[in-house]
Amino acid sequence: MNIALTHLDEGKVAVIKEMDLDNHIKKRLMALGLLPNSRLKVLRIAPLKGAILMDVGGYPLAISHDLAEKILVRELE
Amino acid sequence: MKEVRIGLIGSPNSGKSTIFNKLTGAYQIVGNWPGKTVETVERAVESKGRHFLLIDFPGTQTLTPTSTDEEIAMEYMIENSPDVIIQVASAIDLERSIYLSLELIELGIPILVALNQFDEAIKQGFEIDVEKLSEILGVPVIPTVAIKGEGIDKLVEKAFELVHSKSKGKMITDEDIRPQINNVMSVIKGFLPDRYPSEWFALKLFEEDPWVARKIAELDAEKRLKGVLEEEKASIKKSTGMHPSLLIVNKRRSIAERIANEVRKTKPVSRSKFIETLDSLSTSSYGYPLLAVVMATVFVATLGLGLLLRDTISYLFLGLSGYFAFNIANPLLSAILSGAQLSLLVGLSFIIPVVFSFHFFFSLLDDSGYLPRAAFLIDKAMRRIGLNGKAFIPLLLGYGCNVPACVTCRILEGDKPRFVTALMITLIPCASRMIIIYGLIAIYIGMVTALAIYLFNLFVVLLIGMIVGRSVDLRCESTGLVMVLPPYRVPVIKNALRKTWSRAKDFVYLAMPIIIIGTVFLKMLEIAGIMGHLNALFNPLFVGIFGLPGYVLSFLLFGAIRKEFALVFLMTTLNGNPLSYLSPTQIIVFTLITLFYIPCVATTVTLIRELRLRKTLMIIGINLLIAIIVGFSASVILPLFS
Repeated sequence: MNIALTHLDEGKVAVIKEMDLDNHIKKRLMALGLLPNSRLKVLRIAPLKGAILMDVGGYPLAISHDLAEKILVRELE
Repeated sequence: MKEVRIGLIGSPNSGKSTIFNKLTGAYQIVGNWPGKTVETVERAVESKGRHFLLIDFPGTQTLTPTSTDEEIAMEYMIENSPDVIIQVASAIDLERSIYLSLELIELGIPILVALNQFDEAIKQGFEIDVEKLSEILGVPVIPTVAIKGEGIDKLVEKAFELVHSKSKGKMITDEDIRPQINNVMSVIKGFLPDRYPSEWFALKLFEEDPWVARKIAELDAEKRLKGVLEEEKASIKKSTGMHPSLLIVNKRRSIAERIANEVRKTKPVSRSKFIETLDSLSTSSYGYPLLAVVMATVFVATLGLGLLLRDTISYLFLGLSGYFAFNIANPLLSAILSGAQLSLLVGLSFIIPVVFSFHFFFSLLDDSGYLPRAAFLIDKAMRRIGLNGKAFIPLLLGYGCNVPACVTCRILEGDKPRFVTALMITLIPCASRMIIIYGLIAIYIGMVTALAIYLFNLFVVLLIGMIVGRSVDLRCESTGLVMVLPPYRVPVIKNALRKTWSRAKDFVYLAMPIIIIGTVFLKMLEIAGIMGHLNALFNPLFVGIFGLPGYVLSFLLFGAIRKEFALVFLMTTLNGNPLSYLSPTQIIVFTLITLFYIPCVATTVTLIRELRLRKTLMIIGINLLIAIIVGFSASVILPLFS
């Protein structure tokens, strides 16, 4: 089942399934490595629904909570 | 012969500014956060007998611009295309570096890649097959270690070879959509001036790049292109099932990842335990108290070191001036000489200690890579205002100097976020205003009050950001944070000292002469009796609103030139002893007014350049209004506590 990226806990690994965002921002995220079916690992979620810090292809990438909400992922066990 | 033009481009944190500095011998600020270079700078360079123009572009991750600085970089590159582009790529961030290489190759300009931070990559356990990378991309790749100057000479040598051979890499991003690109290209060639790369234009049209779309509109060619473009886009969508613009980005990134995996033999070993712990601590919930402690430490250390340096400097100065005791009968001449002497003492003992110690501590922080972590933590609060965490960086820079901070607003996406951030920056006490807080509050009232004033100021800055952010409906234009975090680095004292000097030298060269001349000028006004008239004129207004004597107006006028002048001229006019002329309440009210009342001349000029006149006037108006409200309220409320 696909869930929003914001629903993952810290330390979880997931695969990107869908990004419900403007093409403009989607292109930027893709260029930085958030491709469909690529893996990411949630490193940190800032308190009170803050920004998400994740590992994408070995590098830390931070994105706002409101963007992460629109990214659907499938969690890997 | 036409001068050879070499462009220098690369992602933030790749070491681009370091290479620029090595080649030019100049000093561009190098820091560990995205967006130091926000302007395109050209400079004539001589290296080992070779002359050329070096063009430094703003740091950019991709050539798909999302903020002003990135768009400036791209536009400049198309309109004034250099003969060769040196891409400074980070060996420890191979995927993103190759992504940018692919985009640069698409441009059709000869490029070569400086694979920088090569030593750091080796230390982290990467093994990169440079020759293979060069072979796949079809462009020269040279490993460099910029901070040690390794590989720089070879870079220039290779660049000159490329100028003559004009050898370019081959576009590989287009493999699946070649026929569609060719079809669009044949239409484009009908109207596009020769100096533009038509293949790149075709690709960018599929990518829906707004700059290219605007360019096409300028050439009045939208209609000619529309039919064929729509048709080809539909054909791509049909054959791949993906939107063309996303397909291209996806393709480019996938190719970059594939190449990176092909040329990189080993995966990185884990980083040092200490750095790992620091990284995870500074982004956790403990990060907030840590941020508060870090910031408070910078300010307290600055004020503390400032006090120490001040004692030393004034001790030396007074000791020395004993040898130069003047005994002059002419009252005018003696006033001039004592004015000059006094201003020199005030300048040396107030300005130099604060400015140098602040920039020193701030440079250490800046180099460490901590700031982007703080931006990550603060993102939520910034989203409340309608900005994103990235805005934290220009805001924080504002504590050093408002001018570069306002220029750095270019790293933000959208006009409204830039306006609101610039407004907030003008309210932030820069190093000049820190001198006032230090010289009046820390020395005569106390360190606790000084910190309280910083906190109060922060409260006002956030409040104004919130109010103005709401009223211009910031949210609709502002996108969320997307930021790559640079690795932590141990700051090098030597770099911090260099940076301190480059940021603080204006205070020595520019401010000191004006202070001496201005003080003598004010002394002469005093002798001529003009000060008395000024007082009489403005007394009612200032006493009525702020409970301040009218003569402070002249300090405020000088303060508009440079903020620290407000303190310096107050000191020299009041013979270095403000408490015998002003009450503590009056001193606090005066300080609060100087914090908010107007952006200094340099900041105003920068604002006009960045935001145009109308928005600048709005910012000045808001500043004045805040100063009046805060000054008046403080003059009413503070006496209740004393």
